[in-house]
Amino acid sequence: MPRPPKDEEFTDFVHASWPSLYRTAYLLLGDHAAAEDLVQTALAKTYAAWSKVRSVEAAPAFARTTLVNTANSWFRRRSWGRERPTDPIPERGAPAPDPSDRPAVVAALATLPPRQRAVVVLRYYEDLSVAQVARILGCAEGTVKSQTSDALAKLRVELGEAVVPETLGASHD
Amino acid sequence: MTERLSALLHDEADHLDVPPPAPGTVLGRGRALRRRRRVTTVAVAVASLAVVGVGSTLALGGDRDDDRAVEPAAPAAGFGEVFAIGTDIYLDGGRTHAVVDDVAVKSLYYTSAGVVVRHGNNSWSDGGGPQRFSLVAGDGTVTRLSVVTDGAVHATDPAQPYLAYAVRDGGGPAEVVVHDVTTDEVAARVRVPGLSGGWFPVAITGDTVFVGDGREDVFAVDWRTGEVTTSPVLRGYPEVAGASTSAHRDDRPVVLDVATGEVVLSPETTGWADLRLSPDGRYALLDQERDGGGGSSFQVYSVDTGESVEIEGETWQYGWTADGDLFSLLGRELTTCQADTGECATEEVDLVRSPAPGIDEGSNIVCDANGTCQDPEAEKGDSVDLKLGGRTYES
Repeated sequence: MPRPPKDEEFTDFVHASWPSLYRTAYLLLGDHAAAEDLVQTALAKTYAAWSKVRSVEAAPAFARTTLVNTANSWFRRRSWGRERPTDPIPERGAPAPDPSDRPAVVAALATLPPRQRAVVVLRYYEDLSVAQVARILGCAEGTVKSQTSDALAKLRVELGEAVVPETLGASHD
Repeated sequence: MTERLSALLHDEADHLDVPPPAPGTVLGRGRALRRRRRVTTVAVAVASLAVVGVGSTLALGGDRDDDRAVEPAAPAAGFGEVFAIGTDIYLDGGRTHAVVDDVAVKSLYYTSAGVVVRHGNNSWSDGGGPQRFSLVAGDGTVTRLSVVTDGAVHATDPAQPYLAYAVRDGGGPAEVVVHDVTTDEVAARVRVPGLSGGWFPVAITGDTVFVGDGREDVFAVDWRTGEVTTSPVLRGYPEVAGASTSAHRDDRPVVLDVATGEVVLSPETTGWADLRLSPDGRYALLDQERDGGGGSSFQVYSVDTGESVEIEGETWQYGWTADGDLFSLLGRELTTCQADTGECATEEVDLVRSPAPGIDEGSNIVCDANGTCQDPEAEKGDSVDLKLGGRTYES
């Protein structure tokens, strides 16, 4: 069994991987404090499971998978939605937001249920395939496709046709 | 076709204000997780099927990653098992060691910035002269705080960096004081005219400090706005953790929602019983008077679900970690039990000691069930107190 990493090694790894993991976590959760907690949790699990990680080189990928799995377990909790209300949803009557406006993207993501949000982030930010997302989220590929389709339909309303064209389906890999 | 959406997501991510990492906290949590997973688990407590009210059965032994990931709403608790032996302070089950420069430790409090230690001329809970305070950070760094009180009751919220207490200076009204332990400055001082006497038990959760004077009313003080109202729920001594408070209804212990008064936990009990909340309010330990004989064990309930697990031992042997696990130190064995599954793991700990009368540096130290620790090779009588984190050592 590989020895646990030295504190200095692991500290370096935390510093190196933190920004990237935090960005993914924030897009997944939409909350700075929760994102920070999620990254800490994922990195702590990576440390605890070092025998599976095997090397510092393999740690970033392990931590990223752990992060998504942990977020997924949080989503499954019945209290997640209650504890983490999404940001205010823009009024329907309001003018369509400028899609180049970054906060519009965050606000649009916030309108999605947690699993749909995760699907969008994993597919269009992490650039994972339908099969990879299904494996991570523990659901069927068909579910990923239908969740993607539903999510894109909502994002189309929020961000406009220019960002999410009608022809953009969910079936591609 | 997805380029625009993908580009917007990346643009958003690239412009995020990323907070600095906290490798010390991550390491502490990682070590705690690793310790839980060791095969040296010596005891798995039997799950109780008792479910409070109309509930579901309890599922045990699930995927640890899923079951025990830190609650998003919970504090980032990287301090593990926290205890004091004499003036030696141990975090993370003894892996981090610090020494407080004083005669004795009185109590330990969890905050988001570290462990606040109340210390003074003796280990008495109060009435023993001035009470001084130090902050022990996750890496063992000790910072003496400027706070000095006498006869006051103190409280913290493990999710926040504040120490709360109430005092009456001179003949004016009593004041709630909220002290920021990271800056060592007073964050708020709010007058509470309804308080009488000179002894004011407090509790702090979020922006609210609950304060009473031992009589009927308890006041809810919004320390950020200064608004003071009478709590419709609390009476007498406010014991609040997170969103919960322990109380008694019809001579039975209950946990109430501190905001609404709704009963959220009401276990079946026989005889005298009390519920002791974890620092984050997510779990409650049932301290119940038993008929003589039989083995010693107690129930720990999830406040959220009402499900319970059984833990072996006596309630007074256990402290809480900031994130709701139970731990005890007996002899040189540190036992940590997860409040959600009842799984316990025991490991021998080597505790670095600072020199003290009757105790040489680096000597063995063993603690008994009465909370007294001693070097077995030292002369009889040279002993020091054990104080566990998450326990109330207040009058």
